[in-house]
Amino acid sequence: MGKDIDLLRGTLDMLILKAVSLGPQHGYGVLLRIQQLAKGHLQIEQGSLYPALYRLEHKGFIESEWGESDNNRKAKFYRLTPAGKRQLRLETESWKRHGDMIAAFLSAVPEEL
Amino acid sequence: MTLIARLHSLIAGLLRRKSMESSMAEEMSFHIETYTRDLIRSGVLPAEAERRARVEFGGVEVYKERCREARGLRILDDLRADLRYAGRTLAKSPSFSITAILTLALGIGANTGLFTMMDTLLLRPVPVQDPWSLYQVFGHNANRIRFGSFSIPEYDNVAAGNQVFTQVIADLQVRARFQNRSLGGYVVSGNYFQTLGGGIALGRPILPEDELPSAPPVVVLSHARWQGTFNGDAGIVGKTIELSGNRFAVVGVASTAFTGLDPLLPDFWAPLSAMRLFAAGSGRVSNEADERSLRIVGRLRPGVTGTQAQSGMAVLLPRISESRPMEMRLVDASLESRARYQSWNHADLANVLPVVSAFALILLIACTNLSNVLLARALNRTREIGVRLSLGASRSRIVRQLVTETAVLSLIAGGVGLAISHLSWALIRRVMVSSFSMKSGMPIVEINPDYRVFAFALVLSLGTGIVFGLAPALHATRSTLNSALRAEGGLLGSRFRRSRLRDGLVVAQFAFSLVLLIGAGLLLHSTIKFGSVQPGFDVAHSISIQPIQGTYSPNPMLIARLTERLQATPGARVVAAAMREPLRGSLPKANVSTGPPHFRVLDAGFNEVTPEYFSALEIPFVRGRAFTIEEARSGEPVAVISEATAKRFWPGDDPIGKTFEVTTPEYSSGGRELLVTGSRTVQVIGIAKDVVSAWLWDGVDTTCIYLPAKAANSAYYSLLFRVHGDPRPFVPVLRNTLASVDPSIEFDVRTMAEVVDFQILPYRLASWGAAILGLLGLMLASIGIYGVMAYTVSQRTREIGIRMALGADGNRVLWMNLREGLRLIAIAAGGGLVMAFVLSRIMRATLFRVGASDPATFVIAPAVLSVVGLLAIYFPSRKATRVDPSVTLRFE
Repeated sequence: MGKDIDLLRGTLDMLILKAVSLGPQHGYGVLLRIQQLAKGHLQIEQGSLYPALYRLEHKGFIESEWGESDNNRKAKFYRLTPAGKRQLRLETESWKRHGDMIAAFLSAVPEEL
Repeated sequence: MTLIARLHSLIAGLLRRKSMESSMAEEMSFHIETYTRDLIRSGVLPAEAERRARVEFGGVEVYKERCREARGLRILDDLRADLRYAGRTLAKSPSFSITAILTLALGIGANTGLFTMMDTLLLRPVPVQDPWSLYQVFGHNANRIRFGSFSIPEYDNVAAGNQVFTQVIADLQVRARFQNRSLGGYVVSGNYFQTLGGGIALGRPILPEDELPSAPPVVVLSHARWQGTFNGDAGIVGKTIELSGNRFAVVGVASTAFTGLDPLLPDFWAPLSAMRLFAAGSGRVSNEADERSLRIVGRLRPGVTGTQAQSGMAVLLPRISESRPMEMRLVDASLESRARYQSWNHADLANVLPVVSAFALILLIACTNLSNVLLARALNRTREIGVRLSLGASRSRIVRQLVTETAVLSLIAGGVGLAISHLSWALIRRVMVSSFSMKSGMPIVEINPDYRVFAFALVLSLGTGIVFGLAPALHATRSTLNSALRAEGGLLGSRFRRSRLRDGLVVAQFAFSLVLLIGAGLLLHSTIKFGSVQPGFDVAHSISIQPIQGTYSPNPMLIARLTERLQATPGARVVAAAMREPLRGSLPKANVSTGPPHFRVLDAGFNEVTPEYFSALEIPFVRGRAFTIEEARSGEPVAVISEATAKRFWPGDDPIGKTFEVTTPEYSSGGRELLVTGSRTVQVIGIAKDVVSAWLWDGVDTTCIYLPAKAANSAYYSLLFRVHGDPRPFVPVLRNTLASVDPSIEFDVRTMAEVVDFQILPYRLASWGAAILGLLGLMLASIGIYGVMAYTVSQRTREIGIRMALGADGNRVLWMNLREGLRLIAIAAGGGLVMAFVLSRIMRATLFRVGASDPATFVIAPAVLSVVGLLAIYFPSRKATRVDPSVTLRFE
C-alpha cells in the first residue's frame, strides 16, 4: 500500500496531464477521468489532486479558466498548454522506456543470459 | 519559459491573493458538492453522501495550504509572520531597539551623506541637454603643461575652424557688485543657452547677436536671484540694472533647472563682450580681449569619436595659438568630458580615501557592536530556540526569523540614517565655506539624494543587517536541541566553551576604535602644532586687506590712492602693500641662479613688497636693511632674502652684497594669466628673519626673496594695515574707507589673527570630530567587552565556586578572569596599531600633512584603550571573586 502511494506521487502529475490532454476539465472531472482510465484500480485522496493542479499551473503546463459546468454551476476548467503538451510527451516516453526496461528485466529467463 | 510562467503565477498570486483564496475555496466546494450530487444519484442517502464526500476529499485546509505552497506563496506568508514577530520582539525591548537603531543610523547616515556628495559630483550627469557629448578643450605646450584658458579671438577661431564639434561654447566666472552686495555669474558665448538647452522662464536667453560690438550690454538673471532680489517682478524684462557700475538691460530670467556646467548656482549670465565690464573695475585696461581666460567646451559631432576629436583639435590648436608667446604655444590637445561635475582622478581618490575609511570604520564599529548585542540576545534566547527546534522548526527557518529581525532593525536605521544624512547636508551646505564657493562667490548646487543614494542606503542597511545578523543567528542555533534544553550552566563535567565569535567581535571593535583614536590623536597633535606655529611676524596688530579677484584689476595708481587714504585713517601706524600677503597661499616661484663660485640654479619663492612691509609685520632683520622708498620707486635691482634662503644660496658665506639672477613670472593686466617672464640681476642688501609666508601648515619658508614692489603690473596687490592695540574695531572703518575710493572693488578685510584662526579651524574641527568618533567607538567597544566578561563570569560561576572551595584565593580567581580579557585587548591593540600605522601613512601622503608616526599618539591611544578596557573587564571579574562556594555548588 505504502509503495503504491509513492508510485502515485511520482506519477500523479503525469496522470493529470494525460487526463487534461483529452479535453479541458474541472478538478472533479479530472478525478473522474483518472478513475475511469485506471478502471477503478487507483485510489487517491481526492483533495490531493488540487495541490498537484496548482503546481502544474504554477509551472505553466496547464492553464485555467472559469466556465460553466454541465450542471450550470461556475467551475474552473483546466486546459493543457503547449509546454504541458511537450512535458506530457517527455514523461510518456520516459515512462514507456522505464516500463519496457522493467518488463524486460522481469521477464528475463536463464537461456537469454 | 517555465520560469516566466512561474514568476507570472507568483505575481498573479500576490496581486490577486484575495481572489485566489476565494477561487480556491470555491473550486474545492464545487468538487465536494458535485461529488455529493453524484453519490446521491447513485442511491446514497443525502446526509450520508455529504459526509462521505467530505471524508474522501480529505482536509480542505491542509490542501489549501499545499496549494499556496505550490504557488510559491508560502515563503511570503512566512516572511509576513516573521516581520510581525520581529516587530513584536523589537517593541518589547524598546531601549535595545532604539540604541541599536541609532548606532546603526549614525553609521549609515554618515556613509550615505558621503555617498550623496560623491554621487552629485562624480556620478550624476550635469543637468544640461545631452551632457555626454560635451567635452572641454585643453591645449598642451611643448613642455606638456596643460592650458585650459583661451582668449576670445582664440575661441572664435576654434568655433569657426573645427570640424569635430557641432557647437562650441565658452564661459568664464565673474563677480559683480549689485547695490551693496556681491553677485556671482558667468560671461558666456551667444550660443551657450541654446547649446546647453538652458530653459528660460521669462524673456529670452543670451543670443549670438548680443556679442556684436554694437550690442548694448544685457544680462539674464537666475531664477533664484529674480525671486530673491527682485521679488519675482513680472516686469523685470526690459528694466535696467547696474552691475559693477555699468548698466545692463535685463533680457530674461533662466528657469530654475538651469545652472550651467559647474556645481554652483550663478546669479546671472552676460555675453562674453561684457567681460571687461566685470573684470576691470575703475582701472580699465584696453587689451582685455587678448587675455586668455575662457573655458571652451564643445558638443561632439555625432559619429565623431573622442580620439578623432582630440586629433582634430591637436591640429587646430597650434594654428590658433601662433600669436602666443613662445612658451605658451600649443602643440597638442586633450579633451575632458563635462558629462559630470568632476572627473575622477588619482589625486582625488587619494584625498577621499582617509575620509571614506574613517566613515567606514564608524559603520563597522556600529555593526560589530550591534552584532555583539544581538549575539548576547540570541544566547539568552537559547532556551526559546531550543524549544522551537524541538517542536519541529527547521534551523534555517529559525535563522531566517532571527535575520528578519535584524533586517527590520537595519532598515529602520537606514531610513533614519537617510534622514540624518539629508539634514546634515542641508546644514553643511549652509555653513560650508568651501574654497570652491569662496572663490566664485556662488553657492554650491543643492545636494539632493537621488535613486542611487536610496539604493546605496538600502543596500548598505540590508547588507549590514543581514551580514551582521546572520553570524549571531547561526551561532545561536548551532547548539543542539539536547544541550539547549538541558539546564543552563552545564553540568560539572561539561567543558566550558568560549564563544570565538564574540571574542572576535570584541577584538574587532577595540581595534577599530583604536584606529579612530589614533587618527584623532594625530589630528589633535597637528592642530596643537599649528596653534603653536610661530609665523615669525606679529599677527596681533595688523589687518590684511585683499581685493577679491574678478572685481579688480591691479593698478598701481589705485594702490597708491588706497595707501594714501589708509594712511590718513586715524590710528594708522604703518600701511604696506605686497604682491602676496602672508598666510594667504603659497608664494609664486622665481627661477634663481647665483653667480660664481657655486652657480646654484633653483626655484625660490618670491614676493614683491613695499619697504613698509617689514615694519608692518615686524619682521626683524638679521643683517643689512630693507629697501628704501626711493629704491622701490625707481626699481633699483636690490633684494632682501630670508635667512634660510641665504644659507641655501651661499652657505657659510656673507650674502650681503652678493648678486643673483632672478627670473620672475609676470601677469596679464587682468591678473588672470601668466605672461612672459622677465629676468634681471639683483643685489642682496638685507637678510630678514624666516617667517611663514605661505599657508601655516607649510611652515617657515624654505626660500623667500623680497623684491621691491614694482609700480607696474603684478597679479595681486594686497594691503597691510598696522595699528596700535586691538585691530578689530578698525575693520568696519577700513571697509568704509575702501568703499569711498572705489565702490566697485570688493575687499576681503580681516585681522591677521582671524586669518590664522581660519587656517587652524578645519584642523580643529576635524580633530574634534575624530576624537568624538574615537571616544564613541571606545565606549561601544567597552560596553562590548564588559558584556563578554560578565557573560563569561556568569557561565563560569560553578567552576569558580569549585576552585574556591578547593582553596584558590580571590586574587588568583580575579587574575584568571582578567587574563582572558587582557588577551583580547592585547590582540586588538596589536591589530589596531598595525591598521592605524598603515592608514596614517596614507593620511600623511595626502590629506593632513601630519607627522604620521608621532610616537606619543601611538603610545597614548593604546594606553587609553587598555585602561578603559581593563576597567570594563575588572568589574565583572571582581564579581567572580565574590562567589560563595557553598551557594554555587548548591545552585540548581
